[in-house]
Amino acid sequence: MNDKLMDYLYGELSAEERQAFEAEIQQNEDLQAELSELKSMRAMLRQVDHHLPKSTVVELRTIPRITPRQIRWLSMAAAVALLLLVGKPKLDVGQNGVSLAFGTPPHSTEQAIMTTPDLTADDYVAITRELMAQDQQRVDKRLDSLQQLLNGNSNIDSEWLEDAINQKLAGYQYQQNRQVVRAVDSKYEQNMPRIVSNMQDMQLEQRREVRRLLNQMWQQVQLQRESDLQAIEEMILDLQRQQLRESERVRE
Amino acid sequence: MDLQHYSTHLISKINHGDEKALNELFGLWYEKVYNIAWKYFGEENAAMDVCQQSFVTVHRKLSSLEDARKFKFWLYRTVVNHCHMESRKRKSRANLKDKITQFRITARQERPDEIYHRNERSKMVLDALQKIPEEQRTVIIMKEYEELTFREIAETLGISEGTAKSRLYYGLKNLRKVLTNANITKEYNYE
Repeated sequence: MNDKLMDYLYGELSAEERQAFEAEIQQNEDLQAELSELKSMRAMLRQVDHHLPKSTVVELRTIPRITPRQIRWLSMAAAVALLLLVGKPKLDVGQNGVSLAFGTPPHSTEQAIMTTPDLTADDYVAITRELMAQDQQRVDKRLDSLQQLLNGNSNIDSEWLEDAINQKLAGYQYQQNRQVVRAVDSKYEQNMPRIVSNMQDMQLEQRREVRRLLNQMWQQVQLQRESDLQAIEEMILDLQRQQLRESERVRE
Repeated sequence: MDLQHYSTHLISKINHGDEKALNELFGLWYEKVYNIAWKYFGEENAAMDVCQQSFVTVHRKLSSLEDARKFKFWLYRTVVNHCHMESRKRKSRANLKDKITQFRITARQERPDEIYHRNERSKMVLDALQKIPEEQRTVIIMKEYEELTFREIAETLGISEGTAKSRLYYGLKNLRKVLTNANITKEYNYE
């Protein structure tokens, strides 16, 4: 590349330099050819029109351009954010894997069957004893008051009094029994779900037991039958043998 | 009063908080900036984008310009930088565009007279410009269309004068190759 050639081409040589270079060109055909070629290119470049812009407005508050990809990512991020905000996600990592749940979990109402304490036969006995003890105290109090009354009044017929006391005691006994029944009923109602469940379990257990017993019985019957058949067969064989012996004796 | 001289005056007013002067400065240079970008890309949308980005940069960084008398070169450097950045952004689309351009030049190869008659030589040369390296294209634009001296080009682009001449020389050579390959053989006289 010839620096002077470029300067000459664009008119950046001084008058003296230009004259000297032109003299050089006159004597150098290669230089002439190259200059001609470069000039023709410059002429070609001059063919490019000046272009007028449609608008000369400059928006100084640049609005960041969002590409479709960014829009996609943004919408996904917004969806996730919405889920996180509204969905109240709960991530559980358990032995069976990972679970992701959204929304408010349903209120876990514990079953009555789980909260009701176990009520054993001993508990029933204790309740009954307690109630009976309370009643006994009341009866004793009444008897004491009656005794005091008797001690102070000798005109009372002792037979009538004995009957009256017996009636009272019978009434107390009745009431006492009712109270025990009510207390047991109340506990029974409280424990109904557990009792029902236990009863179902018991029924199932009973069915299994009955089935097992039936099977045993059937096997026993079968064994007995086989044994009986065997015995009958042996008896028949014995009879046949006896009959044979009889017939042989007859022939003899 | 030339553009640069008047711009110096406007910049002085802008530095004193005159918003209207900023608008006037933009209006003064908009067409030039647009044409640099348009010749760089040969495409209107890209030119508009570069214009927008360049003037936003001017707005933000004008206060950092130490010598207002060098605004023109500073502005051109800004525009060229934005052209390079925009070019990188559009790189993926450039291949397709090249294919289309190639197809069009090949199509013209059959009937060049028609092309000339349709007054598309401007577009043809512009298409050829897009096919030469960016740094050579930039110097051609600066020299042929903005008529900067080699010293000014060197200052604007931050290169030596020798490099500026070299890029221009090889740029013109490459442009000839592209046009020759496209069978554009008609010679033009410079005078």
